[in-house]
Amino acid sequence: MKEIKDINILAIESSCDETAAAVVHNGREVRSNVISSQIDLHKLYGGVVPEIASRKHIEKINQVIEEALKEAQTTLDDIDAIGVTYGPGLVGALLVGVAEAKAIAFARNLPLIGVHHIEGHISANYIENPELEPPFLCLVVSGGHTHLVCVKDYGKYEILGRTRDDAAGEAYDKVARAIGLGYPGGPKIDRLAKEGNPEAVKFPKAHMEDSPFDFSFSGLKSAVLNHINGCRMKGESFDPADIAASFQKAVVDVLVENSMHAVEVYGMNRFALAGGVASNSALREGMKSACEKKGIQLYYPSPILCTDNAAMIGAAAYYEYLSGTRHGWDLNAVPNLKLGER
Amino acid sequence: MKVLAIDSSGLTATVAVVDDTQTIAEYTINYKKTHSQTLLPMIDEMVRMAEVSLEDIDAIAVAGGPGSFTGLRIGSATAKGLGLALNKPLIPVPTVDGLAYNMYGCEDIICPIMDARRNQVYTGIYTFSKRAGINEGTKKFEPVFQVLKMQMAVSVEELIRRLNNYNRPVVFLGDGVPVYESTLEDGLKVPYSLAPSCMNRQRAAVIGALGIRYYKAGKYETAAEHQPDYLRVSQAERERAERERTEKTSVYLMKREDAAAVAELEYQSFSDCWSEKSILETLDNPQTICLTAEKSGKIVGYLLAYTAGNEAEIARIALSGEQRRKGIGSLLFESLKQICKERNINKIMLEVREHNSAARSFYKKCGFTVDGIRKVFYENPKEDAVLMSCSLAEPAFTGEQ
Repeated sequence: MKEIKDINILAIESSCDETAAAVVHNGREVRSNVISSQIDLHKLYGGVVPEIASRKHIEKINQVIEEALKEAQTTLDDIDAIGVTYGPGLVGALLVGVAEAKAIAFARNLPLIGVHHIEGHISANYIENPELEPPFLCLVVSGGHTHLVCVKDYGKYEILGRTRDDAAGEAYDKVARAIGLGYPGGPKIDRLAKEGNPEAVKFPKAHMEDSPFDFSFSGLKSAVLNHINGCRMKGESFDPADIAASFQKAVVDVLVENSMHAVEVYGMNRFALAGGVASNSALREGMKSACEKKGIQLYYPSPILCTDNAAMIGAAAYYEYLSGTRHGWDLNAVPNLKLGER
Repeated sequence: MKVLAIDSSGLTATVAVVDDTQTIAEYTINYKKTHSQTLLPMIDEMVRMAEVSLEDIDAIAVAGGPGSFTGLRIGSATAKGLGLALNKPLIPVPTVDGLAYNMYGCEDIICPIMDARRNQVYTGIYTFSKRAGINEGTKKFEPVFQVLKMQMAVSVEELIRRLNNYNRPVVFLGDGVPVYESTLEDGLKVPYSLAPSCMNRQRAAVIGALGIRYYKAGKYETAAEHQPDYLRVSQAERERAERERTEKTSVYLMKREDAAAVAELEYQSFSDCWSEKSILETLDNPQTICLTAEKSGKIVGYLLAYTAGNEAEIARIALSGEQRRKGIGSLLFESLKQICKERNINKIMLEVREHNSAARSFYKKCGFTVDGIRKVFYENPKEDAVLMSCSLAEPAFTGEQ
């Protein structure tokens, strides 16, 4: 059998509001992981503005790539393939990374590997857990995504459940806006919730009858907003910390319950968290204690690998590289790309 | 020198390789397929057909804007990626200049028009001057490309007004012509013509030829430095600037539900930030004055003061980062002063970090004077406090003009 040589991948990610590049060695060893965040810019608008994000990406992308190569103490001469997020995400933002990656790969005659953003988030778990191999279950939660996924093998996924409406992170942002916290809502609600009573208000938890692993957060979000409006109309004062804590509990409970249900049905003993909301302290605590009870090994990435980054894209691209995935120069951004699609 | 040129600013996708004397290859597609899918395959096919080695390219010329925002970025990111990988400079060529240069030697007014939507066009006004290019002692001359009005985003009506002022024949080209043809016919008082189909759209060979001239004039940049020149801010920025201009800030007595936003501002402003609970406690304490400043439905500042007898002491004041220096601090102080007078409080005190000169000069403007120093009052980092106060018995507030 032919021996596979060491593979260095330069990975690029620009699907939302972080411009990121990384050099990843053999899929699991991060040589550099550079992220240029635009969050302060988007705070002014209460959310990510696609046109502003795209403009910022084009402004920063070369610096970020050059820094990633420099930090990894390498040059393009030692890169074996280029990996890039080509969906899902904001089309204008994705296009910057895709066009840049294609041009570099073309000019250097390197293989080009388009990566699904969620596959990247899932693969972030490989980086710090050398022992983790498929199959396992993974809950991906971020500003744009809420997916319960069975990772059957590298690059082979079965989506067990997804949100029917808002992503969990989206609900966080909307509730945060309602109680005056501003964008981004996740970390702010998490911090405020520590001061509040999670039992103060009973918010509804949606479980889907027909599909036990699906989520819905828009009902919960509306319940929170109605509660706040109700208080205001009746002239009652309320403690935002209590609302934050009660809302967060409702979100985390559903995420944990559906996850544990999937663990039972699929008989898995390994479970991974991924995505920006995987940094949420209540979700981590909730999953930890639930997994401990069932004797399940829980994995989650460090916060820097939970947020949008390119190291995770490099990890995913490596396994795609091994399985022979190669994209052509006509690779396009696919804003609503499905997981497992090529 | 040899230049690879790219223009994806409009509907047309066009790439070329040019050198000082000729166009080696040019590939232009004027079809609705997305640039993201066509541009790099076109470059690939072109350089293979013309057997151009990418290492022999000296620079990459790219239509630098204006144009479709997304189209510009696809061309720009492609050029930046090539520049990074090949370690070559980029030559941004203004898109409208590139269009005008199609009309080489034309001594009429040359006016490219690109549809910019929102009832505007990207345009510019150009001509070639024969007289300026005459060389003494030879029959050979070189028409000089003159930019009469640099590329801009304006309404068609404004463009027509400018063109009428020149009182010279005009030749139009660009994808905006079919869109505005009847408006031009109605408004123009000068004779005009439309460029023929072989030269009325973007062509990368022109970007390359102009690019070589710009390069020789020192007008190039690194791939990292390059970004498109959109000629327009984004819609969100425009609307935000409008809101900032028109919306007023209001100051009111703090409500319990403001506590989260105030705690968030605390967190962003101070190393020793107060928690949401301590803000609620302060609010519940009758011996306090707590004020919130609100703008466009967002809490942008607050002030917490303790009262004792006929004195008030400011405990906390902060504004959200993007709202500083907009008079919101003064509004908070004026409201505080008003409330103090109603409660027969005649002196307001505060302390401020010695090195926080911005805050100190602001308080001075609001009528505060220095009373003394409290040694090593602050932690993180350790620092002296300057004690300041303002008496309400006499007209103390000079206000911020």
